Amino acid sequence: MAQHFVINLGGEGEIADVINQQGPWALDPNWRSSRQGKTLQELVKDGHDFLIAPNDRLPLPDNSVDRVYTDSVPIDVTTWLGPGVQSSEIRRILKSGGEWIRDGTLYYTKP
Amino acid sequence: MNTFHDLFRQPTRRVGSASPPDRRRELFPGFVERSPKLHLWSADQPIPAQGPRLLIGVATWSGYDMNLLDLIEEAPDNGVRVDVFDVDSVPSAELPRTIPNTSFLQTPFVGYWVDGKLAESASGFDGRKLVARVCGLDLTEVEDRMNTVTSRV
Repeated sequence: MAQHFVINLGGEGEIADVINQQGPWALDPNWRSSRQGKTLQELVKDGHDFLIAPNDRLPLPDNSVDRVYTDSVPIDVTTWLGPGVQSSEIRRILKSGGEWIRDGTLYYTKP
Repeated sequence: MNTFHDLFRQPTRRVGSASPPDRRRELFPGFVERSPKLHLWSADQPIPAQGPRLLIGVATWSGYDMNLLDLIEEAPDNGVRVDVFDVDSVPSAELPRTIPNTSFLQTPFVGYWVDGKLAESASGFDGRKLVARVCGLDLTEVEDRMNTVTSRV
């Protein structure tokens, strides 16, 4: 059985057993997780996996992800940190039938 | 929609099968103007020369920030003036002048002035703690609310 690939874009460990993606700003020594105030190193030490990559160029193949989570992150807007999470990237990386859970709600299922 | 949490939820509240467009930034000023406690800040406003004043930069896409505003509204008034603004409405180059001496990696961006002088500033998790302390919020209640943002419809 193929392994399910689940990613939390902009994630900081709030969802168990997923890969958390953050932009390069998470490498800034002053960066802390929003919810718990932890450094990236502390979150990794807690057992959370991270992918550091720009929101608009996720290094993931097309049709490779079963489920995408986004939680309190900017979507399709540019903020003071640069481009937010891009819905076009989510649609690209999701497999057919894959789901986007936006802020706890099923928001999109890829045809 | 009545609360800032409702505003945060606006793009995910479907009408039929269609997802509504994200109108949170457009709607945010009206929510603040209807608030009995919060004041919408603009760059041309001077810092009050007397009394305690918080300035909080929030992101309308952040459930943590929107729920923090709800907690401020629910708390008893303790005489602190609370000004708020949408961080995405301020050019990034202006942020360090708006709230000095903090980093701008996570919202909320928070400055606390007393009698016209900056007393403290912080952002993200520490910014929320600063708001809680100045507004007299129970920090455990604040963290409980943050932990349930996505599970509350």
